Amino acid sequence: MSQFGDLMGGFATVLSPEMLLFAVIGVTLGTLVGVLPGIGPAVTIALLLPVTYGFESPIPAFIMFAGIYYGAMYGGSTTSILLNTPGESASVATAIEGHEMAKRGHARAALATAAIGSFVAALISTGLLALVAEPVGRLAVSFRATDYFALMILALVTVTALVGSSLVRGLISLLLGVTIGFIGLDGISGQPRLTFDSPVLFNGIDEVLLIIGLFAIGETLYVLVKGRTRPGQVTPLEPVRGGFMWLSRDQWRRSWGPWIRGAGFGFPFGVLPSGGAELPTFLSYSWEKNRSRGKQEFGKGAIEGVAGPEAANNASFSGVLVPLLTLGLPTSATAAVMLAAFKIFNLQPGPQLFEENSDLVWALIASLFVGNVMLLALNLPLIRLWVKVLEIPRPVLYAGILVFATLGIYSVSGTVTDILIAYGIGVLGFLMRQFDFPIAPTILGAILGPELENQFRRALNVGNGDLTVFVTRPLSLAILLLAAAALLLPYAPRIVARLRGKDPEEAKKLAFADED
Amino acid sequence: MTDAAETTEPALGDPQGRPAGPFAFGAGIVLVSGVLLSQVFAIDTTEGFSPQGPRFLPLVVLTLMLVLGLVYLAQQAAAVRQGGSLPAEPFTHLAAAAVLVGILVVYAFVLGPVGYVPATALFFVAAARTMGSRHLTRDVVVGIGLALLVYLSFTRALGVFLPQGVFPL
Repeated sequence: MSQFGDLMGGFATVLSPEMLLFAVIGVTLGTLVGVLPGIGPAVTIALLLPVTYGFESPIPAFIMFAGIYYGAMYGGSTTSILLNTPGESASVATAIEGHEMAKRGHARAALATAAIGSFVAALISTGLLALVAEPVGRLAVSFRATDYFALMILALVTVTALVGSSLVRGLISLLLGVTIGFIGLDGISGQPRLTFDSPVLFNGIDEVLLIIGLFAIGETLYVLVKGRTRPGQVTPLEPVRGGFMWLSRDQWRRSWGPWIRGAGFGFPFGVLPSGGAELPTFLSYSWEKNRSRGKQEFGKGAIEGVAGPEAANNASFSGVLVPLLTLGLPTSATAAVMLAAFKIFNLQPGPQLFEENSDLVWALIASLFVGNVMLLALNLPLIRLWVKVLEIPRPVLYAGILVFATLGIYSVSGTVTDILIAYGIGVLGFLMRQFDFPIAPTILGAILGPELENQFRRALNVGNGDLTVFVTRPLSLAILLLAAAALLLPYAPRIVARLRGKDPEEAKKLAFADED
Repeated sequence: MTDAAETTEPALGDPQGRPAGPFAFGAGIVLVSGVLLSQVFAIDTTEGFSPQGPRFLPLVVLTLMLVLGLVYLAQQAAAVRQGGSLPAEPFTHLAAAAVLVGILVVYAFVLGPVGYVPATALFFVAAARTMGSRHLTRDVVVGIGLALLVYLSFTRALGVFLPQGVFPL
């Protein structure tokens, strides 16, 4: 069991007082930004990227990111439960049941089952990540350019097909992102592309600009135009009633099943390119709604409806790290931001990462465990502080977000042009929100696009320019067929209805919400 | 959309649907795709449109985007014929948003010459006010405090460069 030894090595790296301090800072910053309505983990990490620019070693940076991620995730649950404004779509289920629980005077129980559930699920799923990452990495070494190309197509198509309510709008978002990825000097021929002969664009548009522009600036403008700059009504916390960690014996009994099942939904769907956390949280919610002991309480504040989805949400993140670390393939917006973070340190996730930087990978996996422990140790005791953050006037909060957004862009390049480009992208992000175009496919398209093109052209070079290379290798063909099936999947209910001779209008398109 | 719980698509036949927005946005998509598509032909290459060359994938992607932009317009036209519209949220506080974008642009330009701390403090106050804050003293205090905190922690502790500007710190 060599993974166990490697993991222990990772713990040896991260368990120094200095590293633990980074974990504490990460969790605190992550929660602080994550509690803002509309700001999910992907944006939080993007906004806090500049904090690590001065770091020499990537290890403290990744420890901080793990803390930021879990903090932001938990911050989102807090907002969902106490304010009923989910920070990201994976918290929608939590907002439904958790807020009802809070209104009935069980806010602490809802917060506790979310925190402990996330903790339990993260422990299980990070353990699974430690187990499967290296074997998958070894398998990935045998992948060829055509397989990589097919895998990237699959990842892009599934995210686009499953996210948002319209395939046309999703595909436009995706192609927009891929186009942004083309801008700059072509990596193979060295020719400028889509630059309008302006040398400013020769280096392309940095991912950080795109992420901060689309998410942070776009979201702020959207919030402003919707007139959501007044703080919402924070449901007050009830006095502590006893029980262990704010949960009574009965609540513990009702929670542990959904936690484990949530982790069971979250991890595999995270590993598969299914767009991150939405699908598993949705599946966990509907499983608990239909099967759990408390099913008659659903809609009125059932603890299972918080416990399951929150666990699934967290577990899916460890799952998403499997393709990210082993194949360099981001399958959610958060993973795309993580990939940008890797690039800051000149690291390319993929099969080589395990061979060349295995210390770093195991330190990262160990830091996920540490981040979770920190989260549980800090966030339940500090809940009154987070409630105070929720009561800060919105104009002050969003002005602060814009300050950090500009700081993030400025520290990437330091030029006015780049700041203006990011603001322009922010306006685009705002318009996309206004017209219900999903944001995540654009980010993934821009980040995966250049790599997709590299693999495409590499495969063609090997195959002497013959386009059939993508369909003659069985593995590539199988993956491409899966991608085609994924495009049809959202229409499956309608197609089935038609086959059964029912009115297809009654069967709705299968859709999940956007982001993270 | 970030909060799926709150966004409901206006049903077809909903008289509240605002048809102009999606038409304009769709036209924008078609226009931008067209302009960029013309740029694809400007890429200097000896390989023509060979799949291995630098023109091929941009050509494919932008052609698809152009077509999908037209499909989006057609969908909107069909929805309008049925008396509805594709999802489009009302642009209510648009003046404030435009002012905010203006403030952002000014901030980008003055950041270097004026320096991080004064530019950021002023930007903070102006942005908070645009978003509806009416507590000037509080905003000024928070703005200066935040700017100083960010400046000192990033330049001193984290080793990230920020412009010092007119006030030496």
